[in-house]
Amino acid sequence: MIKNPAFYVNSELCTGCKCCVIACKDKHDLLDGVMWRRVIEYSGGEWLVTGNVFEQNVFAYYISISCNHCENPLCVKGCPTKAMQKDENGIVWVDQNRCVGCHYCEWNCPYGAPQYNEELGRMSKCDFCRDNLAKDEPPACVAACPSRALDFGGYEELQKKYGKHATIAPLPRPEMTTPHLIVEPNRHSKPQGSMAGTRGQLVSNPEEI
Amino acid sequence: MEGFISLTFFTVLGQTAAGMAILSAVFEPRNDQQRYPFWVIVSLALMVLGGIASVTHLGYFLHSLYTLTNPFSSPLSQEIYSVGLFGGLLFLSLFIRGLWLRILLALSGVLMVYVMSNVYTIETVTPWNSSITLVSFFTTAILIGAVFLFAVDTFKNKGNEEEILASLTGWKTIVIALAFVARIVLVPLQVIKASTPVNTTLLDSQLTLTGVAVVLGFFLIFRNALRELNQKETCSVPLFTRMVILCLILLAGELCGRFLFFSRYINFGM
Repeated sequence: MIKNPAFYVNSELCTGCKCCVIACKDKHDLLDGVMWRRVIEYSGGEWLVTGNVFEQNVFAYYISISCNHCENPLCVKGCPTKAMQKDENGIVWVDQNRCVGCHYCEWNCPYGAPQYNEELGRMSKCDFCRDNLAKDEPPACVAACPSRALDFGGYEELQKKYGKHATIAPLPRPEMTTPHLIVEPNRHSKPQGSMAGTRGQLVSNPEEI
Repeated sequence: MEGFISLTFFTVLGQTAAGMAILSAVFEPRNDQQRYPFWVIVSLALMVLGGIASVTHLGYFLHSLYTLTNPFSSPLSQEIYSVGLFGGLLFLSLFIRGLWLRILLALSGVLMVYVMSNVYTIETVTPWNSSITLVSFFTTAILIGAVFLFAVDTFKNKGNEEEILASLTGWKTIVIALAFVARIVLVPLQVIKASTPVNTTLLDSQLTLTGVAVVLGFFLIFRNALRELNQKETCSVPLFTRMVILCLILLAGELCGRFLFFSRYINFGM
């Protein structure tokens, strides 16, 4: 089993089709409204007057995101019951036998990864498809991506393979949690913290994530 | 959002109980001759109601004992300990009298309000992550704590309008006014500190609601009360009823303000 698993997302290749979202929901039989993997849309732009002409600088790109199994997971630190844990392989998971469903992990995660399961009354989150990894199979989201925008592997190996990229908007500051996530920027990517999006710092499709 | 309603009640009621303990230790440290002080009973009732509200926020109550297992890392776990400490000392205050217990109770109240604010002062929820949260929680404790001590006095002196009027012109009114002024002062301070627009909006909405409640309540009650003091006229509504209305208006204003605080939560912290 790989150590410190991480996801790679190529924003240049991602078309926002949400196959990864559906594959994850299907595999884990998630309830309505619970999405361990989500596709963020970031868009903006405006008309500019250049001389006697109007030009536009409209942009839009997608980032598929789930739990990043961070180096310094704030959800684990904040959990009052110690239900949120990081296992020996570096996967952050929820022990359903301890979780009290207080939502504190959800508030502490800058990526909104832990999500409430109303049926269980407890929190739930991406476990990196641990059963698949044990069988040397890829996580459901990676396997389902039609444009091969997703990849996975040990964090160090992925860094060697794809390099280390700067975080792009609208992702939060990586210093907060040191996420095991490598994002290949889109050609239109805005730097982290940019306010160029239509809704300021926020994502363009909040109702979908 | 439903979860936030229960947290609104839990935080406001808990802070009110703490405020009552702090203010009574500061202003009436030796006034504890009664065996079952009425204000302690009221504080305890508020803590019990707040406790019930907080439990309804949990998805799986049966695991709640596990919340005591991470006090060194989780502010939420620390909050539960501090609530337990304050509640325990409050319960002891029903039976045991003494200055040392009053001081200990007040200190545990301060600790509880401080730890409560720590729970929400988190980097990932920008609108909550500022010193406003701490100041706001303490002003709630002082403002509504004084109002409830006021209500307790009024209840004890029911029928004795002179005593109620005396209470109206005493330290509790000054504390209520000061706590409210503290809130108003916070606005320019925040602007100077270049706060985010969201924080300013949050504070504005809290201020507006509490402010409307305070101004309305004081206008309705103080004006007539002071006129009565000067024996210019009498009001057909008993003073006791007006005091109860004032307390309820203030509490409602505070609950609305706190609910707005919670509604500023942003799911995806970006």
